Amino acid sequence: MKSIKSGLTVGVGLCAGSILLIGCVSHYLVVRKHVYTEFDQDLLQYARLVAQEIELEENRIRHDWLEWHTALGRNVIEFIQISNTESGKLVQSPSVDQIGVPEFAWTSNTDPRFIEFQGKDGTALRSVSFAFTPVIGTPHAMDDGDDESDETVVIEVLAPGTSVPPAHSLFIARETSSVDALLARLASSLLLGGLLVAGVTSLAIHWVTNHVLSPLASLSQTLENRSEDDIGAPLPPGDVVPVELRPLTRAFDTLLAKIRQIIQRERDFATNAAHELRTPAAGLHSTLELAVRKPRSSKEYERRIRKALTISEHLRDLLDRLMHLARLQSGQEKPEFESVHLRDELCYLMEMAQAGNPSTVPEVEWRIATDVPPLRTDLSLFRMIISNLLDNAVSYSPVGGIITIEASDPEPNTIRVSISNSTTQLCQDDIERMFDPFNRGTHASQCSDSHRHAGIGLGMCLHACASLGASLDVTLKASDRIEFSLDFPTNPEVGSHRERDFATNASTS
Amino acid sequence: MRALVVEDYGPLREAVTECLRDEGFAVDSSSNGTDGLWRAESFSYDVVVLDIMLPGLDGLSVISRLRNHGNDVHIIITSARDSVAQRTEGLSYGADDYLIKPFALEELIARVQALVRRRYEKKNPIIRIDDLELDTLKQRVTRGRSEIKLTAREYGLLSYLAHRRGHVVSRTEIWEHVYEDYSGGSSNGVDVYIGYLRKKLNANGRTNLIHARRGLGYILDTP
Repeated sequence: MKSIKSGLTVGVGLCAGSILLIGCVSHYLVVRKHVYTEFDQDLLQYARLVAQEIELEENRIRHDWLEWHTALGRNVIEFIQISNTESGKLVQSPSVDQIGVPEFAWTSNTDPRFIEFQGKDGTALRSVSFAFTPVIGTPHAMDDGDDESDETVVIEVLAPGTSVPPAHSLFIARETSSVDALLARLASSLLLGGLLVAGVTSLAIHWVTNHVLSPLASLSQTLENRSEDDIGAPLPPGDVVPVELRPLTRAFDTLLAKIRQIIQRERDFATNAAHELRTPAAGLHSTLELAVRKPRSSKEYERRIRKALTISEHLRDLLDRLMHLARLQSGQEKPEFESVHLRDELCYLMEMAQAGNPSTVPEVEWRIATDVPPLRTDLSLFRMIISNLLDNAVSYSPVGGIITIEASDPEPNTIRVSISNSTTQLCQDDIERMFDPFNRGTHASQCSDSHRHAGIGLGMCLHACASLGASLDVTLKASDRIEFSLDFPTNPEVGSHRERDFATNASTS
Repeated sequence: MRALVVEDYGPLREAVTECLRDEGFAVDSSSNGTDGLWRAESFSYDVVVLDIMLPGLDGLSVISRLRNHGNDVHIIITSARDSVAQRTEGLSYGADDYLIKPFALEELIARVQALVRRRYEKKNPIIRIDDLELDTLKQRVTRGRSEIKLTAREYGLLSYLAHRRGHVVSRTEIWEHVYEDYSGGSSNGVDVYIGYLRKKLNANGRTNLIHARRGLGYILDTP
């Protein structure tokens, strides 16, 4: 269910409703059973009384209907049938014709049997039947012969000469309308009460749900009301938020902190990029402004235009690098892995770096282990990383400096490439800020204008390394030597890539 | 007048340097803060054009150290840092002016000349001494109604003397404020250029305005 509130309301409502329904039905059934039991007991008691009152006089059942009907407490319509189990002779009360005698009325069992049935006129009835032996009575003296046919039913039940009375079956039924009406009233009461309780419970559930969920609503309102400026501000402290929501707020705070860092990084990047673009733009503007400031020879104009062109190329290069860095940061650029022969590639890139810095001729020391396996990596990203490091090494090496290039597999599944060079004036602060975009260390002063760097090369290397699943560490060896160390996974396509954590290990030894 | 340009971006540094030279300034340049600080502390400049984000030592540190050492040279910051806070920060460190990159060279020159005038307490860009008129904006020198053509060094020398009108200026001061990198000249060379200048200014029998003070130097003033 998408809505917690609806889920809670419906869930709790269903539970409460079920409990209420079960309670009402149980209550009804218990009462019904009790009422019917009482009804049956009453009927049985009455039937036994009737059975005791039935006498066998002169082999005939004597039954005083008039007496029953006029007696106190017996002014009801009686449905009585007495049958001789041997001869099948029946004695029925006059009302029996209204309902019709059902088939089960007859029994030879002395245990009472209770049956609920419907009369032929649709009346609901409940009966008891059992077998009994009537009492042998003394024949009454007849006041007059006229009364016998109306008030007393006398049936010949004993064969002449028989002394043992035969078994008889007594069936007595009684309408259950009064009990049914009582139960119907009970059912109505329970239904109305249940509906009322259900309504009140629904309102209570709604209120409780709202109350319980109010911190969540408050939290979402707090987040919704945030402006862009305070998007990264932490959420209300733990004591204000319910215990159940604290993990959520902590997770939110962590997420917001990351967003804040990303926003700050984007802002810094934009500011720094704008700054870096302003300077060559100023150079371009000044060069062209100076060119047209006074009349010059066509050769002089050409020289200045060429200079402006060089600056614009620098601008274009800077923009390309910025775009590359942005693509790496956003993860738009994906590596394509292939097998690279380390020695050949490092030699080629070193030649390129030296060709690009003809004024600096440092000594190069190679320490490439013979058993280093081929490296599986993205060639273009690998070249970008190594070119940057070698270019820096060549550019910043002092006269007579030494560049050392090492490649080895110090541990399983790892190939390490290290590039170290002599340097001057570097301190730990420079090392720690080395990967910051647009940072220029103190040693940048040694760089000629033609090789002036924007300060984003190492930052790009870091992102490229992350894309390749590699790590890049920098170490200041003593005070005159800097070493960049790259650990490449031997099989970057298999297994887990390193997290895109752009933090670096900068240390001094 | 002598100016120092401290800017790490070569093309911009060269353009500013050339433009200031065109305006008659003797210009030294530096590509990093450490060298810039050394020059500013070692030599006497009328104005320093200083970038902030410099390799070696940043521009704000350069200003701070100069001011702490009692150097009151006029400094104009040229920087890409354009926010109010950044500009305020630059000025509060002791800079005299702040120009945001990219800028028009004309504006930079105007601001530099304003700083030079402030240094020598001149409000008017046109300096008049008797019938000599020096338009520092147009780099135009006239005497009476006739314009006098001067070389860049002669103009620089006259401009410096004119800004210090009425004050005796030593040969060393002239040498320091007119010659770039202290090359191509010496205190004796100053006498030679004073001679050239006198010859042009005093042509047609006009009154001599440049007077020698034996053992002290020269003074430009009415007779």
